[in-house]
Amino acid sequence: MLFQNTIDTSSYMIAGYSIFFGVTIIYLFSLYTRWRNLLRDLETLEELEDK
Amino acid sequence: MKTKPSALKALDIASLILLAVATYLALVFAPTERVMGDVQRVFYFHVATAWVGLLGFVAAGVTGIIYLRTQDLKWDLVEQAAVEISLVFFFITIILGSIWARPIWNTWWTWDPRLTSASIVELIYLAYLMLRQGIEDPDRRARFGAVYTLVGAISVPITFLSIRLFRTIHPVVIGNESSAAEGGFAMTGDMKIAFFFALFAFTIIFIDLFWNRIRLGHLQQKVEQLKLKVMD
Amino acid sequence: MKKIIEDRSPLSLRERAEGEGKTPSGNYLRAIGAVAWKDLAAELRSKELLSAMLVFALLVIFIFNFALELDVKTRDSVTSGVLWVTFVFAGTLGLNRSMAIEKDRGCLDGLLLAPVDRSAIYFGKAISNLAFMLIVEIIVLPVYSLLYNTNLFQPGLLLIILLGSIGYTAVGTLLSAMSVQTRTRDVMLPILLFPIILPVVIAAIRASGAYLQNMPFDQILPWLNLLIVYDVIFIAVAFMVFDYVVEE
Repeated sequence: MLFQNTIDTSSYMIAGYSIFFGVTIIYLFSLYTRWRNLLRDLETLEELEDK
Repeated sequence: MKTKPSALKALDIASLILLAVATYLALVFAPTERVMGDVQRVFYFHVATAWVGLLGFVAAGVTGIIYLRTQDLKWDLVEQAAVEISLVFFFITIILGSIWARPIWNTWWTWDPRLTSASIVELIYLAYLMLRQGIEDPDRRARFGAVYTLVGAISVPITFLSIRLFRTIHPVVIGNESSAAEGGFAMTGDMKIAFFFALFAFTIIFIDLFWNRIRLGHLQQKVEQLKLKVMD
Repeated sequence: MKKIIEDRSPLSLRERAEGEGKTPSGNYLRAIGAVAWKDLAAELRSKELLSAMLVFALLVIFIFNFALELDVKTRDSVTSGVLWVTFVFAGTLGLNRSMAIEKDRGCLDGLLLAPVDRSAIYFGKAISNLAFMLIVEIIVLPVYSLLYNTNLFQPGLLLIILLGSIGYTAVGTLLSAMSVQTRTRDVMLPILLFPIILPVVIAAIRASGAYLQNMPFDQILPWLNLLIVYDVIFIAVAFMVFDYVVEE
């Protein structure tokens, strides 16, 4: 019976999950941005190729 | 190439749903751990992201070997995707591990064998990226990348065992507690559900991200080849 | 004079490789010997690599004297760490210079033209790199012993230094062959090498420390085993993979 009240560590839990979702969202956003940029590059290059 | 295959679209949706469910299970469904409190919930995603990191790590090593055998640049592409995903997810693992350690053992870092090995993997990936950046020729870049992921894939497990051996012979006070506590809180049935579901969900998430990232790699390769062609 | 210069040229290497004994294994061993001897002979004359490594190692030891409390009490626990950090850093110098010389003088291309298995080049380079590292270590040990009044000449310690150096140069030779072909060259090698040789560093420091503190053998054995396993695995891997690293 060492612990009568569980210590309140919920702020750490929130920090942890925020980090998880933050990093994941940033990574997904980077994937999306890179995809868009590449598509744009592809269009430009295909135009150049046709000339 | 530009339209996403419907299987992948379905996988995207499935991943999002699974992630949502896993989050619910971890944050709401699982009971609060009696000793550590809510921060223990971080553990479910800490292990799940480590699992994804590990999948990527193994995939990188294996595709490295396959590239060396086949000399087909498609495999180099896959290897880069694996490294990138593993890099991101081990990063999350390490931070979550640190956040978990802080309130429980009053330290930001425990030099626990698994966390330390994950950090070493991150350093190897950074070295990998720097190595590739310093090489112009795509074929040489791919070959060197493959050799290095192979060398890394063999070295890291040995490093992990060395650290663990080191810790059993020289137990560090904080470390002992943490290595006991990694499995040292008894998981109740509900916790196990959250835990194993997270592992399952993140496996699907890994496959989804991997596939998406490989598609990105293909597009990148196409653009580069076209660039070379047009610039001539 | 002329003879020594000729001996360093790739053409005479090829002659030696095709050599008197026509057996393939004889040629192979001869090739390894030729590559290794080329470096050793060149170094015996110029001594530029060894002197650089040696002076660097001694300077590092001196810096450690001011950085750490190397008094009698803490010395025993810290000596093995100081020694191995010194060896790792000095070793990097040697590996870098050794490969850079190959590349800059065009020797590497010449060697690649020779009709020997590429892995012979690997073994030859690795042996000469190992020789340089061992020479530096053999000189550093008595200097350290004198400066800090500890006897480092114990057979167990020497064995660990040998095994650790073998593992270090086995991986280092492979990775330096890669790093010398990148834009950032010298800087790239430690970044590539250090995470990979961690098992060697951990095991060698632990085992050396255990020997110096006269710990029972069963405490040292697991580290010895680890070193041997690492050495065997990585020599095999480097041997299989070296081709991919030097092909054009």
